[in-house]
Amino acid sequence: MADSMQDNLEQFLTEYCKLVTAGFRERWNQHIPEIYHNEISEAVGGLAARQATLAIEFARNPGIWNGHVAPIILRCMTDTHITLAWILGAPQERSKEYIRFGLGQEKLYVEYLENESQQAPGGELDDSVEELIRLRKSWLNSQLMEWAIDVNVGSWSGKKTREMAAEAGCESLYRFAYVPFSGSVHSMWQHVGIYNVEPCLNPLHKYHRIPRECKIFCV
Amino acid sequence: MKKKPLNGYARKGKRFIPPMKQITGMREQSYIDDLLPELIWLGLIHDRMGYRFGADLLETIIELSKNWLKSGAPINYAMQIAYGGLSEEQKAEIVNEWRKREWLDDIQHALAPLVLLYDGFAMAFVGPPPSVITREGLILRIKECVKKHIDKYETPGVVLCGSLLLTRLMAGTITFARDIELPDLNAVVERPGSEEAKRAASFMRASAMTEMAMLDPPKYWPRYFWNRGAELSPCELAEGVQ
Repeated sequence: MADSMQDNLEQFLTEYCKLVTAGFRERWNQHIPEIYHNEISEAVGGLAARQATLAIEFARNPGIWNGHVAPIILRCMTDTHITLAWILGAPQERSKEYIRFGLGQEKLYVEYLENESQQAPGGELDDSVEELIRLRKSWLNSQLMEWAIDVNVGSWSGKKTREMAAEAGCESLYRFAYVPFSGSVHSMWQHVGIYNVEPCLNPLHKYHRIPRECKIFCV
Repeated sequence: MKKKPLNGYARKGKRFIPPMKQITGMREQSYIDDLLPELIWLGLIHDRMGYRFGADLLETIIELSKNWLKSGAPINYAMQIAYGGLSEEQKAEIVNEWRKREWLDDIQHALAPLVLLYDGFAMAFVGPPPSVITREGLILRIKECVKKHIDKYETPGVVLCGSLLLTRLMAGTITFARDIELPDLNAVVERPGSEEAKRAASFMRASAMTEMAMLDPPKYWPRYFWNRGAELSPCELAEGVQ
């Protein structure tokens, strides 16, 4: 009986993953890429591929279908949905901004790495750091020369996610998925207070909360 | 003391602007997006007949253009857009000159992918090649040509950039102050990889981007060229065509 249920679940998940892949391909095949303004299809295609990848990886790993990890993935998928929906409202301008923001963040990271590698005493950092810098710089320069990259430390869209969701018509997704799952992503009390502590049963301790060990999930 | 990250960047609100972009009037120009589509016709010529022939071909056009009335707007005949503004008589003059020199067949063969596959190619007046080339063959040629010229740091791309400067030198529309030590531009082809070649290549790339900024041609051809590429052949991934 148990074996049969497991087989059914496995078959269901395999079919689900095939469906996600087929759905992604069907959509991509209908898309005519704009090569001159390549940012549009790169951003839109990349975000759609990410959403499909997250859905498939999540489905393939039942071990993370719990309140600790699932909201992290789901919040990420909600974010992807809102970002994609908002970009599609003005694809040319917003996809460019989305990509340039990412390049700026990468540029900043490379600067941190370079700074660290210059300051480190001889031999403390191995060659792999230099190689990491070289690879990341080459990824940057293949898209926009480093010297032309702005670094934006604010929101990439210049808006809050709530505003983006409202503009893209996904306010309910923001309210009922983004907000609750954010607690899990940022390890806020509304998540930690439920999932990572439990009441001590000793009345003398005022029923204070104590860390809940994860072993109860390690079945 | 640790060096501050983003040294030289200027903060504007939540955005840090890199030093080069703080210069007033600075505008981004892209070799791949905008310049390559304008010059790719010359790449096809180079692929078939070599760099020397490309230079000779430009020279014939410059010579002919000396008798044409100038419109006032700056023109560089290395760019395909320059031919869009020619009169039918001027186009015929060019074709006749190439025919007289027995170059026309070769040029028609070389430019066939652009003439036959890309509507609105400004040099379509040269006409199709005398013999039939399959559509697949044409696509393969333009694909190979773009692949070869897409890197402005490799010799074919450098020569394309240099053709803008070469055209100006031939036309006598550019002069250099005496104290500027000009590199030997031939070094790019004759001694690739040498220090002299690197200096010349850098000079050519800088001149090309300056020329592009100065002319600021409309973007309809580059945009069409790249989007047409997506219509002509599908995306390709490492493991095969998608």
